[in-house]
Amino acid sequence: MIFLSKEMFCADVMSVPCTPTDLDTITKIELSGGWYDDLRVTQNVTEELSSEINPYWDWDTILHAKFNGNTSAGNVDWNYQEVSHLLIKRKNTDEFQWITLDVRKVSSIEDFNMKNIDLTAVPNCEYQYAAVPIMQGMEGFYFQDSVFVRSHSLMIADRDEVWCTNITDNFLDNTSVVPNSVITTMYDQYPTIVSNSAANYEEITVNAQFFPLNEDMCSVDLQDDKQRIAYNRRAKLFLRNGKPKILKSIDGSVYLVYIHRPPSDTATDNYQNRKLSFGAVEIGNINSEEDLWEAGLISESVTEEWWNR
Amino acid sequence: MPKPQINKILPFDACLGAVVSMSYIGHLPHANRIVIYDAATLRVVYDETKNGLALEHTIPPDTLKNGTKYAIQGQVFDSFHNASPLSDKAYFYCLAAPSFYFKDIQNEDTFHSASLYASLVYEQENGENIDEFRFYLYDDLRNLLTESETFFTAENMNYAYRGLTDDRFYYLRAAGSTVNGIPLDTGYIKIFVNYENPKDYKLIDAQCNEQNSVVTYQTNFVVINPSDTEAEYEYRDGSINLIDRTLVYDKDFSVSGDFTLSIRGTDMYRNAVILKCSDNITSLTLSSYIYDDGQMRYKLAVSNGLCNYLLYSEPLAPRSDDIVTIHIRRVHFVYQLKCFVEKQSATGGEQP
Repeated sequence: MIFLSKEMFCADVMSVPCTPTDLDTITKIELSGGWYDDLRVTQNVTEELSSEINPYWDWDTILHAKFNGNTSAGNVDWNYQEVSHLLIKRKNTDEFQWITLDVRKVSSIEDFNMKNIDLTAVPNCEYQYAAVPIMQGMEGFYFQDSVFVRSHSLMIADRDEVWCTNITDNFLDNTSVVPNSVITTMYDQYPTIVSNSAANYEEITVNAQFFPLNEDMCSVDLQDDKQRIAYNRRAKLFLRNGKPKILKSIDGSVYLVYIHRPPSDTATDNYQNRKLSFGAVEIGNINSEEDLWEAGLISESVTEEWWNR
Repeated sequence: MPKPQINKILPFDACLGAVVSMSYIGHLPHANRIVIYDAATLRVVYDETKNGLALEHTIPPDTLKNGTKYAIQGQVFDSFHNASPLSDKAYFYCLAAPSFYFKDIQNEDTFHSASLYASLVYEQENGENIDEFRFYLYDDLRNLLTESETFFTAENMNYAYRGLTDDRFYYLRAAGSTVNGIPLDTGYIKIFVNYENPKDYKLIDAQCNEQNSVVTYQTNFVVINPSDTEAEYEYRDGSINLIDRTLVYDKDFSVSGDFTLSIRGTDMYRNAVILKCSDNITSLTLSSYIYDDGQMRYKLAVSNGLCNYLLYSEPLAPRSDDIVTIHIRRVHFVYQLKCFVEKQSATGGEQP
């Protein structure tokens, strides 16, 4: 048995063609005995071996030390003691102003890896996302990626939930509100306008149907009343949960809103074909970090000191 | 005849002189006179009459002294040779022209980062304080992109220009004034931003869910440092000296399954253990042996429970400056050892 298992009495060069070894996971590497300019470990076992070592970090790379004046073996030459915070920012590619979406205080290696979602990107625009380390109180390099944002459905979300539906007229009919009074006087031909409020916002009317979708995101099962009613009820609870929301249509209209007129649930043609209609009022500027932060739509760690203004 | 009035005089550098002007309502003037006093002693330091219709008077360079406050009165002589009374005294300072510029940023400089930390220098030899200033950023067509808030003290002379785009020209500028109104302006400083943004591997990855336009972002930073971060090593031309020293990585990474491990170095003709990989119980060891014939072989020994699984390289005889590349590849726990020697010029290094 001992010959057939992983245990061997002895082993030497060419002793068996395929020798099992019991070193599984390497967690320690010690290097000595020369002048070295490269140490690299990769999971790629198909690349051609030559006198050159691939200089680029890729998704298979586990460790790569290039010894350019330091011993860092990661894809950035910091250590977590040097970096106090890691910021995630984004901006529209055509604009200059960044918005900070997330901030993490770095106290361990794990803090370098952040994953989160951005609810505020406007459809039909290209955005740049940047990870920015803060070192000695100053911003370091902007590591960037670009993404073109598209949307196939009406989306409404708060800090906890994202709902979307493509069964909508997508009209988002809206009315601008600028309060003022028109006062006619006895002797003047024209009225006097009194406008003593800075209020200037929009009210939006939304009509949409929320039906449970299958995994392919397009099949609507109207016949399953139990599932449909539960889903519709959850949608209505979400719409009247009192939290600030972001409302986006497929054409790129975006509003930071509060649902001030709760959904009315009406049926058309038959009882299963139900439509929700609700009113939203604009409560902030979608491009303002302060407004987004107060609405809870960007990370609560993005306090005033991180706003880009 | 009415009194003329001296128009406001901003502080100016006495070495450069200045033009002062006055206002007057009355008959057409044909001459004007200014009298300048030392404001502290009221001693007359300059008294000059100038013919002409223009109610302007040039104070010649080096007539006054910087760091001094002066009083000035003006007088107008009209075309009927009537002399107006002297105007009320107006006061002004002569102050050396301040220096106001960006430290360490020159026109046409190139910056290899998306952020730029600009430090302003303000110097004024007569103790004139700065009053307020702002930082500005313009695009390559001098359209204003962003401006800072207004700063009021010299303690805020640093500013971070952030989010600069790769491969673009920008103009930096700062402008403000001193407490007595001397305008300050660095002028437009043209810079070029050029940095490497790796395309093949993204340290941040953003993906859009096209169903709902929600963007998911994820960072991919890998930070690996040796266990002894305090140790100091000798570096030369992008290489580290590990002769008689050991560099140990033992945290923040793990290698399981198939892998390729590569090292490359020089000065490797020696009997030594050069690489050890382990899980703290079992290990893989790469060592070099010089045989009696002067040839050297690398031996890879991998623990297999009772003894070692061994592989030997082809014989090598690298000179000290030859570049040796060694690859260890593991596929399904079967190992491969491959070495390459890149000969350097015959003049360099010593023969083994």
